[in-house]
Amino acid sequence: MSFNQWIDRYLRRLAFGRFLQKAAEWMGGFLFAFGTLVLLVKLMIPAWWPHVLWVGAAAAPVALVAWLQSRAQCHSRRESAALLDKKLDAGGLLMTLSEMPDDRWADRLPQLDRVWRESLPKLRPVRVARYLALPLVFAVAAGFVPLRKDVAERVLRNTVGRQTATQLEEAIKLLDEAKILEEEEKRELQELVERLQEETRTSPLTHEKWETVDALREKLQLRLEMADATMSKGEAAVAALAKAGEHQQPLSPERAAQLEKAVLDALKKLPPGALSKSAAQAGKDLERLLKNGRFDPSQSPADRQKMLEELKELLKKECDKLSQCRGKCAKCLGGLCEGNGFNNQKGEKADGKPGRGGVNEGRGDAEMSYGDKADDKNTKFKDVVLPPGFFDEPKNDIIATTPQAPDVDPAADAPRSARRLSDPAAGKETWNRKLRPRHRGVVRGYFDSGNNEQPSIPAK
Amino acid sequence: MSKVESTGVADIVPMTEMDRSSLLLSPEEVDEARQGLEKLLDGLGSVILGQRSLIELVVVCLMARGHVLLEGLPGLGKTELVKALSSLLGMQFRRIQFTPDLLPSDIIGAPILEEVHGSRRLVFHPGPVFANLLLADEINRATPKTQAALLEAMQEHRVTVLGETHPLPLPFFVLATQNPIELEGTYPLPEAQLDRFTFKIDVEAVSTNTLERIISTRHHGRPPELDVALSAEEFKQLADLSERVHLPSAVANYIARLVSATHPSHASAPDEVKKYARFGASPRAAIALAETSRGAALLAGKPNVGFDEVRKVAPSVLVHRLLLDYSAKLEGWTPSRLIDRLLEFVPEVGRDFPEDLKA
Repeated sequence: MSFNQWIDRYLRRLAFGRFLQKAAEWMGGFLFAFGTLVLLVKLMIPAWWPHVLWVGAAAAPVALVAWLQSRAQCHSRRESAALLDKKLDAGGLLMTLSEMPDDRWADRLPQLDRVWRESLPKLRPVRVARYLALPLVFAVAAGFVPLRKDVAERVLRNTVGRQTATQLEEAIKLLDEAKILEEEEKRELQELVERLQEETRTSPLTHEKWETVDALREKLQLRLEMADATMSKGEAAVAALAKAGEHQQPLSPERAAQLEKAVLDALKKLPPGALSKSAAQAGKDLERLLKNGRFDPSQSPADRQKMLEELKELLKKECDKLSQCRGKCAKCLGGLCEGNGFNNQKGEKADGKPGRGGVNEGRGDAEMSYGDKADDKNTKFKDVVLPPGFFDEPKNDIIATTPQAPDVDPAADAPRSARRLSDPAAGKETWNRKLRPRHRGVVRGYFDSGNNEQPSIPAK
Repeated sequence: MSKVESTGVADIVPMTEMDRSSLLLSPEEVDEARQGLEKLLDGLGSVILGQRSLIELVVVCLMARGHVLLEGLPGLGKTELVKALSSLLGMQFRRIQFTPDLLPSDIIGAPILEEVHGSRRLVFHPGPVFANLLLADEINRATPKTQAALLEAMQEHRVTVLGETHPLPLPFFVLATQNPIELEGTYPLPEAQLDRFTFKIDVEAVSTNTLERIISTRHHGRPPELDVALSAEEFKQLADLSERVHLPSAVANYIARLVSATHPSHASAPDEVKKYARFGASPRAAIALAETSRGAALLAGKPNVGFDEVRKVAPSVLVHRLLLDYSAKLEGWTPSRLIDRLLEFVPEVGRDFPEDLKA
C-alpha cells in the first residue's frame, strides 16, 4: 500500500472519528432532550403518551446533522498528511512526498505496513458509548417513570352533564318499569332529559342546567316517594281496618272514611293488572269497589277480613317492589331517594353506622324514640281558647304640681321592666346618683327661689 | 545543480511527474550539502567551543542570506565567531567598531575630491561596508544616524551616495554584536533596523567543562589557525540548494499561524500575547522563518522543511520582532518567554485532533 493510500485511510479514520465525536455530542443532547420531553409528558400531559415516543424518530435527522457538521469540520488531505507525518516522525518527508512525489525519497519512509497501521488513530466506540451512557440511561429511565393519572380524563368537558342526563334517563326507565309514571308524564320527562342531553353535548353544565337537573331529580324522587307513601298509607289503612274488624272495634265515621280513602288511593295507584293477578274473588271485589269509587265492602265479616288480608299482602308486595326500585334509583338520583322512607336521605358513605355521615334519625345501632308522638287522630292537639289581650296605656298624665322638688323613686315606679322582676335594683343607678354638695345648693336654690309660676314636679 | 525557474510557459503548461520530482533535492545533493556544512560547523566549533547550537544558527542564517545580531556579555566569543566564519568561508571580511562619533560616511564611504587626468573631481571611496562579511561590533554604540546608514545596505545590498548607487559585493552578510550591559551612552537599535536582522541570537555563557577546555587548549586566548572550509562560490551554491528545500503547505500554514499569533489583535493569539505584546512580527519575519527553516532542514540532511525546523529557528527570528508592553516587564515576561508560550500554544496542524481519537 502506497503512502498516499495510507494518507487517505488516515483521512477516512479522522472523518469517522470526527463523526463519532459530533454524533456523540448531538445524540447526547438529543437523548437528554428526549428524556426530558418524555418525563414532562408523563408528568404533565399524560394524554400524549405514548405518541411522544415518535419524537425518538428524530434521532435519524440528528445523526444526519452530526454527519453534515463533521463533514464541514473534516480535516483536509494536507492536514491528514501532516498529522500522519508527525505520528510517523517523518520530519515532513511524508508531507513533501504527498505534494511532490519522488521515488528517490519514498524509500526513506517506513516500509512496514505494521508501522503505518499503528500510526492510524484508533477508533474508540467504548468512549462514545461511555459518553452516551448517561443520556441514554436518563432517556430510558424517563420511559419507566409511571404515567401520572390522567386527571384531564375525569374532568373532560360535558362528561358530568352526559352522565347526569344518562342517570336521569335510567331513573325514568326504572320508574316506568315500576309503573309509577303516567304516559304523559313520562313523555314530558323524557323530552326534558333529551333537551338536557342536547344542551350538554356542546356546552358545559351551568348552574341553570344544574337547577334543571336538580328539579328533575326532585320530581322523580317525589313521584317515587309519593307512590311509596301512598302504598304505605294504604297498607297501614288496610292493616287498621283489618285490626278493627278483627277486634270488633267500630271506627269513628271520620276515621273510617280516612282509612277508606287511603286504601282507595293506594288501589288507584296500583299498576294496571295488579288486581287481576291477585286472588280471583278478592280481585274482582276490589275492581268493583274501585269502579264504585268507594271502599265499602258489604260482604260478610269473614270475607271482608279475607279480602283485607289479601289486599294487605298485595300492598305489601307493591311496597317491597317500590323499595327495590328506590334502591336502584338511589344511584341515578344522586342518593336522593336512598333509604326506606321520607326524609331518610343518607350521604354517599352512609351505611347506618355511627360516624359515617349522612342524614338519618340517629345512630344506626340505636333504638329510635320520638317520645310521646301524636297518634293518627291528632287527639293530643286540642284547641285551647286564650284570654283576650289588652293594651297597656302609658301613664304620662300630669297628676299634680308641687312647689318643691319632687321626691321621686323611679325604680319603685317601674314595675313593668322585665329585668326588674329578677333584679329589683336594676335601673336605679341614674336616679339614685347623689348630687355633690356644691350642686345640691344650686338645685335647691332653683326650686326654692319662690317662683310660684314655674311648673312643679308632682309630689309623690 | 540546476534550478528550475518559474516562467510564463511553466505556469501555463502542466508539469509532469518527472518535472515535479526534479524540483526536489536529490539525496546525493542533500548529502553533499550536509558534508560541506558539517565541515564549516566543525571549523567554527574548533574556535567557539561548546556553542554548537549558536554556530548552527549562525550558519543557518547565512544560508538564508540573512543578517545576524549577536547579543551577549563581553568575552563570550561573538567577535571571534564572526572572524572564524570569515576565515572559513574565504570571503572578504571587514570589521567596524561602532563608536558614538562614527559617521555614516565612515561605513558606506565618501566622495573625496581627487585630481584625475588633470582635473579635480569627486571620487567615491567605498567604505568598509563593501565586503562579503561585515562585522558591526557593538552596533548600539553608534548614533541612530550611523546605524541607519546600514539600512539600505542590509536590505537592498547597495549604497547610495550623492545620488549615485553602488552595489555591494554578493554575498553580503552583516553580523552585528551588541552588549546588553553598559547601556549608558548607547543607542538601542530602532525597530526598523532590528527588523533587518534575520536572527537575533543571545550568546549565553558556556559551561564549566567548556571553560576547562578553553583554558586547556588556548594560550593567551589565541584561536587556532583556520583554513578555508568553503569557498564563496561553494557557499553560494549551498545557499542556492537551501532555496530548493521544499516547504510543505502544512508547514507554511504553521508559520503563517505562528506569525499571526504574535499580533495582540489577532483572534488566534494566546492571552499572554494579547495582554503583553504591543506589536507582533512583520511578514518579513514569516519570510525569514521560512527561509531559515529551509537552511535548518538542509543542515539536518532533509530535502524538506518539517515542523521541528520551524520550532528551532522561531525564537531567533521572532525574539527581536515582538515588542512588549511595559506591563510585561513588570510581570516578568520577556520576548523569549512569550515565544515559548506561542510555540506551546499554536498547534502544528490547524485543525485539532478529534477528541474521540485521542489516546
